[in-house]
Amino acid sequence: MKKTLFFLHFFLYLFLSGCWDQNLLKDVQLVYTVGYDQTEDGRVQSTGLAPPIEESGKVNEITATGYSMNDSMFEMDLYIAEYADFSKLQAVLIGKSLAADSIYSFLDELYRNPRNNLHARIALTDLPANDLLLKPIDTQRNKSEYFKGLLESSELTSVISYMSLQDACTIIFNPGKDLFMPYITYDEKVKRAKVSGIALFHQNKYTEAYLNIEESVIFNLLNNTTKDLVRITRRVHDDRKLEVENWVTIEVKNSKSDLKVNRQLTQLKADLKFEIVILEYGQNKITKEKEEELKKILTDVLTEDVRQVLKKLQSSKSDALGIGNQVAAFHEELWDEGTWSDTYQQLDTQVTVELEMLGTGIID
Amino acid sequence: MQTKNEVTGWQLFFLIIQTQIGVGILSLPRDLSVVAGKDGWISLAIGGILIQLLLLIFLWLLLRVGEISYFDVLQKAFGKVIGKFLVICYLIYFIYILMVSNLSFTRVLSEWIYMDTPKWVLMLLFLLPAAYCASGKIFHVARFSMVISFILPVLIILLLPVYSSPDYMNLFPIGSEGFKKIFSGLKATLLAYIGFESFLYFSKYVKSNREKELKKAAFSTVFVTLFYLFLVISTQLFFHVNETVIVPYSVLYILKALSFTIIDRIDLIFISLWSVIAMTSFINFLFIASEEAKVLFNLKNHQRVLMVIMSIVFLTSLFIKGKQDIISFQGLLFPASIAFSFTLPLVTLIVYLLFRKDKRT
Repeated sequence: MKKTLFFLHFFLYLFLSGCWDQNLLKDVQLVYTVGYDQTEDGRVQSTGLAPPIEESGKVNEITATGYSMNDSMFEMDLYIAEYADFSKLQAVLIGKSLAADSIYSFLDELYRNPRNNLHARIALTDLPANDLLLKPIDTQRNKSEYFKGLLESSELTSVISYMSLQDACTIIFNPGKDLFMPYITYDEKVKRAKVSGIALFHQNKYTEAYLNIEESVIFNLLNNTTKDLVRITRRVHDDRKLEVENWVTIEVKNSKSDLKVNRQLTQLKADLKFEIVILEYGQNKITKEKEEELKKILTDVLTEDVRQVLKKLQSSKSDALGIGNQVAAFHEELWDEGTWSDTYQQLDTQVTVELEMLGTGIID
Repeated sequence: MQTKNEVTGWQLFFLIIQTQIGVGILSLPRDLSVVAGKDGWISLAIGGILIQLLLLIFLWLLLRVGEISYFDVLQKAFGKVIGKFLVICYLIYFIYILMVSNLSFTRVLSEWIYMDTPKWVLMLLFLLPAAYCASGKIFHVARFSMVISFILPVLIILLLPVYSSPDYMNLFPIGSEGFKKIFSGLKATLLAYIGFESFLYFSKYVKSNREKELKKAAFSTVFVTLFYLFLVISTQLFFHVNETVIVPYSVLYILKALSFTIIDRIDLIFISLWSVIAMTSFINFLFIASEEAKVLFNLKNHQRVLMVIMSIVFLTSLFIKGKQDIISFQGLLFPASIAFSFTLPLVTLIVYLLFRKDKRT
């Protein structure tokens, strides 16, 4: 009996799974960054960047075109010695040409395939994604990992907020909220890509409008999606000869934003509370009166900034802050998916910013 | 040490829980939101209360029927011939349930991780351990259910990160889908609760302190309802309802989207824990079916007939391949369970009690 059991164990190994579904590292090429564009005849052009096998080697770049996402993957496989594998995907770059049409039809495959990494960051590129990925980029890291780092560091300074493939899809399915994602441009002079703000979408289509860096920071404050570092630099005086002395840099330590629509759907009220620290001030001396003066000026400046951001969102019909959600949840009888974007555009905005000075940091 | 062929109240409690929580938990959020929208959880709660009430009625009737197995009651209530026929119907129903859960199990695994592994291998890997577990005595099965229940809190803990950034807006406005949709959501709900009727079949093994022990077990559905509610509400806080509809296994998607410092794909950990939970449901039904067949055919033990049932399940499952075939095959579950889990037990127990009363007067 014992002997049979002993041999049975060997026999049972045959039943261990994995023999069919093993995914060996030597058989796959881990694509870290992928970019998608739509060609003029509606095909999908994808460009994949895979890290070099040796530390100092060259990044693998492959571009392939196909009729669907899977087809372009299939084409890609024809060029490489292994299989392209997206399980370690770090960044997905979407070209404008693709975002001009309803974006989800393209993202669906990326989203559903259980092997793909849903934490990959997504971003929109100013120039075709294919061009951007093939451009020379001066970076310490290899190019395939560059874009993830680029986005991640801008998240830390609250220019953009973390937008993964999963987050993007959740917003796409939400009728009360419009998509937004980091906007990447290319700087020919320094040969680097740059995060230039937040691209605004309206119902899954790119609106051709984007928030610049200052506006993006304000947007994140409005959206309560700030990270560790929120720095705002504004011109507060006109009378100083030395230009530096006209400017102040503050850091927002804590912030709270509260957006409310009134019952008649005519007014959007934004209440923001910031706790700030002054980091740099050209005049270098802050007295009690000076503090009050700065606080007053900054409140006015920031109020105007918030108003501008809201205006830009409204004029591009992009409800990226999810105001529609609020209406659908709390004023259900007034919610109408079809007319919401018009109602949204016509909302009056009323902005109040409240500042609390926590201190002046190392400035005396 | 307990070596008699009986179970305690708590063991029965966990037996019922494990029979109820099966393959369905992965697709439950989707099935609910397809019909009931964002108010799926209300249907779920109502369904839970209804099932709980039904279980209490069962309890009340069972206590009056006395220490006799449900299948014997069937034969006594309707006479030998009709009774035997009904028992055979039950056997077919159980085999059908086993097939459905086997098919759903292999479908999830082959869609999520084992795309290339042949289905028959997955089936065997599911069926063989299940058959081994079910071949024991009732207290083996009960203890297994009890031990496995410790996995449930782990599943809850894995889902807790959802609450780091929940979107409560997804639940509001509560009740907006209207009465009709909530009501039709009950159908999907009832399918998730199937297995509660195992209370009837397992109750015959509770021998000492019958009234008190059975009462304990009758409240198992409260636990299951709370567990389901947590699952469905967590999903809705994470996904907008429109997304839940297109995502077949919402819980797996959530876990895949959550990232931890060390472990990236906790959905794979979840699925391996879940497969054990799914299996206990299968084991319990397999045990009931083979025990019933043993009594029906006057056999000495249930192991042989268990192998026969297993082979039937395995061989017939091989022929149902296409996704649509599986779905339409599963479609029969609702009418079948209405008949066998709701109507028939109630009618049987009542008829039996009335019939006995006649005799006394």
